[in-house]
This record gives sequence, C-alpha cells and structure tokens, in this order.
Amino acid sequence: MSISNSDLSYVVSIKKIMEQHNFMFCYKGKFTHQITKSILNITERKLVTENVEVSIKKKVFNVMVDCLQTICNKNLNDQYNRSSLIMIGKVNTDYIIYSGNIISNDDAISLQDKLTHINLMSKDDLRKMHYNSLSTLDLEKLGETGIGLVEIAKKSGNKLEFNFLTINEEHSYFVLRTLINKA
Amino acid sequence: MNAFYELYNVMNGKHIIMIYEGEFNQEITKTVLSMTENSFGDFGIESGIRKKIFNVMVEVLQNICKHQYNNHSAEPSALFLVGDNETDFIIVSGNIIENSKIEIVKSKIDKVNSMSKIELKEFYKVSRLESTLSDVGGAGLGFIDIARKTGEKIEYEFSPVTSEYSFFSQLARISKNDLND
Repeated sequence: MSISNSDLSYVVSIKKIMEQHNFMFCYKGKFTHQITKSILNITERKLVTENVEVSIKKKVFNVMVDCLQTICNKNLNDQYNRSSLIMIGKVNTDYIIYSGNIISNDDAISLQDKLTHINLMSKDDLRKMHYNSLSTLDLEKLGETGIGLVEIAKKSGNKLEFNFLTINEEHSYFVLRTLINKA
Repeated sequence: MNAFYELYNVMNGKHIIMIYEGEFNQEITKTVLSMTENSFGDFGIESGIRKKIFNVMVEVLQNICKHQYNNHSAEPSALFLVGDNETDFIIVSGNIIENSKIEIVKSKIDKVNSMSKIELKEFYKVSRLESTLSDVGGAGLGFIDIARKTGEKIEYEFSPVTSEYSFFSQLARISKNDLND
C-alpha cells in the first residue's frame, strides 16, 4: 500500500517506462532556439557522464541535431507545437533517439515517400549524397526535411523506422526512431 | 514504437514537458537548471514566477543529489519531472528511500504542510540554527524552503518496491497566477 497525500502514482508509472526502455531524457513541448540548445547540452553532459566513445558521442549528438531541426522546421499553431517530442534512450549498448511531431497530411504523404526512398538506398549511395553534390532536382525532391533525413540515415547506418498516426483530416503525428549502434 | 506512445500518452495526460532519469551529478544539475532558466523566458513567464521555479528547482535537485545513493545495491538513479499546465508549474522528484526512513520524512513534510506562512518563517529560523552541515537534510530545511517559496502544500507518495525500499515521489506546485512575495 502506498502512503501519500496526493495521487502521484503516474510518477511511478513514468519511472517504470523509463527504466524498462532505458530512456534517459524526454522533452515534450515548444522547441525554441534556447530549448533546443539546452536539450543538446543535457544530451552532451549525459554522454560525457557515461564515458561514451567519442565517435558514438558525435553520432548521437549529430543525429539529435538533425532530429531537432526536423521538429523545428514545422510552423504550426501553439497547441500542435506543444505536441513535439524528443526522447533519448539506450538499447543494450546502442543509443536510440525518438522524435515526434505533428505534420499536415499532405506533408505526411511526401515524407513517407522520402523515407521509403532513403531506406532503399545503400550505405554507399547515401554516402555519395553530399549536400554540395546534390543537384537542384534532388534538392527539390528531398526538401530541407529530406536532407535532414538523409543525414540521419547516413550517421545512424541503420534503416529509418517511422510511423504516421492520423490525428484528423488535416494532420498526422509523425514519429521517427533512429538507432545508433555502438560499433 | 509502443514505448514512444506509452510515454507520450502519460506526458500528454499529465502535462509533463521534461523527464530526466538517471544519475545526477553537478554538471547535469547545472545544465538542467540553465535549461529552465533560459527556456521558461521563451514561454512568456513572468520573471518573478521564473525566479520561484528556479529556486524550488534548486532545492528539489539538491534533494535528488543527496538521496540518489539511497539504494546501496544499485547504481545511483533518480527521476526528475517538470510539468506545465494552465494554472501551475510542477516540479517532481523521485528517488528510492529506505522503508525505515519513510515515517521520518513523512512527518517532516506533514509538519511543514500544516504550518502557516508566518509559522514556516519562524520554523525555518529555528531549524537553520539547529541543523549542522553533516546532518544531511536533518531538519528538513529543503521542505521548509519549498513550502515557503511555493506557498503550496508539498505533495508526496511513498510506493513500496521491496521489503526494504520504497519509491518516494515529491511534487512542488508553483502557481502561475499569484505572486505572494
């Protein structure tokens, strides 16, 4: 039996979810420039505390930057902006980064195409896709978000996992899960 | 993806904006504090309230730093949450506590919760004189400080983990509307 003067059972639930999935840090809300900077600072500190290898640290950090940029790119109303989320966790020795945000259903369709396209590319293909060498056509096709996703795919070395959840006729919730292997 | 939605739903339902789980060292604490200090300005929060949030946060984080080692058989670990709903900011800490200490902590919080503003001020003075540096949180100065700064009752829950340990959650609420000081 719990001893309490208020129902805080959700704190225990959160603790359990965090422990079970090895999440370390989550932020849900508006992503302003300052907040983005702070989130990156916390991540960096956390990685330093854990004595993570420099190359992994760099990868995690860079993927995080790209994910945050993808989230920040969306201009939505306040309520929708508050639904954006970033999480960082660990699976065994690998790092995992989730980002989630609301996008228009039109964007969801083109984003899904981009993600599928990127996932079909080999590591070599991805590596060749330097920002500077992208043709105007590629740039148009990928857009800012697409370029970010290519970068994420390159750095993680794994296929991008994603999910779109329809909210209403106009918007969907987009979740991206990026795995960064230790070796 | 289930893990994501599971956490998303709790955060959404309870208006939680930030969760940190793990070891707290000085650097992490500093970064978390500066995040709050810098970021809440972007939310259009009045500087008086921001100051209060910051001060309460310092107390709560200090509390975490002291008690994260409570479970001697595990890695140091604690939970820190920040919430933001329409009327209040909430700051929650969670850490392991030995069952034998629950009654002491509970009675300290209950005592603080039962006091008026003036009584708290007096109690703070007396407790500060009585406490010594080595006496870790002995007088419950942190609780008095939080109660004085928020002007609200401290909410708590001790939920059993094993026959030896429980999980102690503590919530401080800072109203967005009134500036008592």
